[in-house]
Amino acid sequence: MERAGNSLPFPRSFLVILLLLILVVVAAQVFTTRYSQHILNMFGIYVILSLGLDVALGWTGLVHLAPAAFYGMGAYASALWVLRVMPGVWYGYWISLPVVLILNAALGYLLALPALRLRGLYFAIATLGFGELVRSVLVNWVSLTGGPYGLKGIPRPYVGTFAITSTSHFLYLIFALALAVGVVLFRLSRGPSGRAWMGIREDEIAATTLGIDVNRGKAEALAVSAAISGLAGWLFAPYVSYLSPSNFTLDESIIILCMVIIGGRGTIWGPVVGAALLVLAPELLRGLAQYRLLIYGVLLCATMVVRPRGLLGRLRR
Amino acid sequence: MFLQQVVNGITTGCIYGLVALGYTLIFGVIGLINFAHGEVYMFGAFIAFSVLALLGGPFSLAIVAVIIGTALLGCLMDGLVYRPMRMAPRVSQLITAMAVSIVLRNTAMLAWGTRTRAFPSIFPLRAMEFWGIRVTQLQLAIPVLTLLLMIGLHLLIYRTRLGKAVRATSLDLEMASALGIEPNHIIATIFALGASMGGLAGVLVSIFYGSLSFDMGVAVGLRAFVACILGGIGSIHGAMLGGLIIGLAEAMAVGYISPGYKDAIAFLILTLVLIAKPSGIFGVLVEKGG
Amino acid sequence: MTKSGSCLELNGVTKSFMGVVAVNDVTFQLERGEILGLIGPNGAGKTTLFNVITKLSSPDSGTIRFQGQDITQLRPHQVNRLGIARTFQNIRLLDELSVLDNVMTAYSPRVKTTKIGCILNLPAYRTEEKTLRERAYELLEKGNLADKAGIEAGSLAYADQRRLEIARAMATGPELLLLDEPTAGMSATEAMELTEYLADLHEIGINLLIIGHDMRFIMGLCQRIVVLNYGRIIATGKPEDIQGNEEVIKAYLGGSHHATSGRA
Repeated sequence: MERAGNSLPFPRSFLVILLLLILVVVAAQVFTTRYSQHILNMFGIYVILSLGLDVALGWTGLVHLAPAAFYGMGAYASALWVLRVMPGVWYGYWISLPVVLILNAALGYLLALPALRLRGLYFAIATLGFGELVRSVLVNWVSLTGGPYGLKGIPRPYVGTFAITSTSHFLYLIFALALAVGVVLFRLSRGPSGRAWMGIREDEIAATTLGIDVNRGKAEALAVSAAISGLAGWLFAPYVSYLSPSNFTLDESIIILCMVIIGGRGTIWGPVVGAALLVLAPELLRGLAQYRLLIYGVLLCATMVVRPRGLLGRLRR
Repeated sequence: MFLQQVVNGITTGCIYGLVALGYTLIFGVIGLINFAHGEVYMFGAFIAFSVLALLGGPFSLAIVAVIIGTALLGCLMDGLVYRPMRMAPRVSQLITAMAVSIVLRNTAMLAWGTRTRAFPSIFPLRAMEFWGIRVTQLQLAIPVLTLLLMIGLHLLIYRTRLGKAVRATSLDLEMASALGIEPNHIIATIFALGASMGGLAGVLVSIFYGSLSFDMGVAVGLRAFVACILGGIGSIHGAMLGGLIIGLAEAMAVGYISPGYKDAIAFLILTLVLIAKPSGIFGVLVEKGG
Repeated sequence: MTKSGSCLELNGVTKSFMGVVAVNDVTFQLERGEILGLIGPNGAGKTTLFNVITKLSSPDSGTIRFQGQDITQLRPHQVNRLGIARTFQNIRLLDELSVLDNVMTAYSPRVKTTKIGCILNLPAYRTEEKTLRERAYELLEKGNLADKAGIEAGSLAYADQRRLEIARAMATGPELLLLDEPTAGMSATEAMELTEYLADLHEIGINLLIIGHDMRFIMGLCQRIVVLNYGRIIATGKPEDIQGNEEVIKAYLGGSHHATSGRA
């Protein structure tokens, strides 16, 4: 939180952004196989997801246990828009982006309205219920979502006549957006909204006596969080071109939760590190694929018991 | 049709209630939502399955093994994970419990595989017909067994020294230890007790459906949990009643709406309860902290 | 009796919790430019009264007016935005945020630039942030906290925490400041410094309502004192009148055993 003087003629964050951009380009050149690029892409999507969850969980202190529900809504909304609303138009996919963001933000805001009457544990439980409801709708509204069989044949996006098809095309798209999300959240976290959210996290009563509308702040945080999760879904749908409700289960939410908590909630880099650890580590231990969730579970347990603020979280005194 | 669904609803409702007892006991004493409780139920089923099908042991041995095995599992969870977290914020405890749930479920998957297993048929499940309603003997036995377990638990909590200690601990942990009660022992006992009831419920369900799988705990765990909230988490009788209500509501949904939305019913009820009256129907418990 | 010139005006305010009446039919005014003390034995309902004024809890009956406006139905953040700020008896800082950010947080509901301006880092936003940061530093300097701006608020010493809470409350730009036992846990010197600081605030036109246990501090600072006992007002008057008031002495001797220790 230090804001030391800056002798550069431009904000220091530009340097960081530039460095990250170079890193992405280099990574795309180093990892040339389709498989390794796919892993990088999933890492990028999880970065967006965990950053999105952190807005609610780490910054505002809202234990939101249904990020996968908003992820799924974003993915299905984007796919359905391209398949049903604007089929066969190249810009259909790009128009679906604001649709997804607005839809998810609105639903996040709506979820907040009743849920905010609940505190702590009860709020967490309500979001859990919401997640299961969404999944249940995805499974059961067969005419819209294809039910348990899911949606197939989601077209690849086009820019004019240029098709974004290969994993490396997606790599640039995904990381450009992940970076954008990172910058937006970094700025917000240092600005008035971020301070209001953190104020709510630290002490709701103190925050409200400082003139902060606590309910509105929480609803805004949930809306932003939901929109970012939706963005990840918007990227995911055409990338895998096939969606099924099993992509958006409680386990998926828990994986995202693991990334945020293990990496360190309430920080920008924590969720990124968490996502890197949980996506990339299983690749290094390829033979242990079936132990993946077990290892996540053990890591999450260990983090909560030993280092509750996560790897990058500061330890309190 | 209606009465048939009522019978089916009562059967599953009793199971939810039994699992819910475990949640409610633990929450009542230490304010922890033991999210992993559904996995204990699954472990109960698999322990019985292992003794009967893999080792060829008798049913009585299987039951003893389930009770001891799940009780140990409960104590183990408490001692290894929850005890160090006792003073952590509630919400951190909940997240930890979710982690324990993942660990247990995936351990079971590695140990017993991902396939749905057939549970050995020990009892011939004969069905009887009353006024056109099909009832199996087990469907009659489950409510009776549940009732017996409930009465036993009630007596234990309200009539014994141990029960007194449990109640003292749930009221005020520090006070209880000042009175010479060792809270960690009481908490371990509660974990053992709740776990073995959940384990037994798992066995009953496996006999009833004739099958079991590593992920059977998720759905039941969530529903039992909703049952707890519905009945007022912390209340023993509320948990049972909540279980019955969820069981009946689901049976009705299956009968009259669509089997597909069975999963959604519990969460619809949860949402309504949380919004209308977060303290549950019985509303016994004043929310401890947040 | 009602004068339009009152800053704060309570009329028949009653608040009970589960049958226990904590504040009972309280009526008083705080005139513009006044420092009003609120004293009474433990459990007299002083903090409850603060909570009712700041709308953290709603009165069962009665009305509260601030600058002539009825605030009885408002929510706490609205009350603050009208110009009432407060501190807490058991200090409520944003522990994990820096000292500076505690003050900056108080500005957050009052900034003019939007989220978009913040995300795009527009010049208008940067200028506003810079101004706010300078103002925050000014407030911290007045509270002798400027050199601690970067550290976590939760790790401050007790007296520093009390002063930070006041600085933070001042950042909301209040016309009325409610202080709940501001000298609790402070040494005599620190309490003295605080008295001067509060007198300065009064100079620049801030109205003060102060709960205090430390009689020397309250008698020295306040122009008028309201005494509560069992939720009722038992005396109102100038410090010297209160000191000699029979009923007040009786309330203190009968109702509490340690509150009299600091009496002048």
